[in-house]
Amino acid sequence: MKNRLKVERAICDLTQQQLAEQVGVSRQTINAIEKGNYVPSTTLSLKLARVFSKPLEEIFQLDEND
Amino acid sequence: MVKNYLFSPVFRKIGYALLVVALVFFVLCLSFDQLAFGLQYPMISLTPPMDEEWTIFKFYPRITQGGWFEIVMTLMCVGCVFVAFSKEKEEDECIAQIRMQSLVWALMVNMVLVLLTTLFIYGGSYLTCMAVYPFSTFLFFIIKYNISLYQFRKNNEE
Repeated sequence: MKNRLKVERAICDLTQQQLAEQVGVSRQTINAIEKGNYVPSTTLSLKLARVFSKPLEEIFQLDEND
Repeated sequence: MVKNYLFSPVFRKIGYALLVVALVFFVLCLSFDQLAFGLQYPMISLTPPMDEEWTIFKFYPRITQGGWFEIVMTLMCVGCVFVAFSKEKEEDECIAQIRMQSLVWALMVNMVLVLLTTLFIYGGSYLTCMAVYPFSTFLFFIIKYNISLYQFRKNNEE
């Protein structure tokens, strides 16, 4: 799964810690998602999409391995 | 909201304290030739009294003198559960996944040990090993979980 979390975070000028606090996870989890080491649940993905006010598909996309 | 069965983070410390007490108690009891505490309460035995023949599926209630073994086992059971199944201060779904993966790993390793013990160990030693295995599952889980959690935090610290 690919994601544009880092880009969207930069656009909104949010730190990992601020984003983590907004969606109720640890900063390390946000970092793991950005690096592609962790695929978030549907609930967390929807929360992240809500923070950036964008549809889910704009932030997360399937890659060739999925 | 998905329900989980985890305890509050403070229970981890209580669990470690109980395990330390169990260990100290165990060493003390071994040093002082199995202290008896005179705890008498009804227990169930599968072994018949001397004058009766053994019958399958028959239970023989009796009053037995409980002692150090029951106390150490109780402390260890409760301690292991508290240490293994307490939430982190910052609990989230990523940590839940690490916990689940560590649990699967620990159960698999333990079952391999059970299998090897069944195939290659016989007699009293086999029973001793079987008494240890419920706790070794917890031990493997706690070690694996803490290593995985440490690695996760270290790798995502930047």
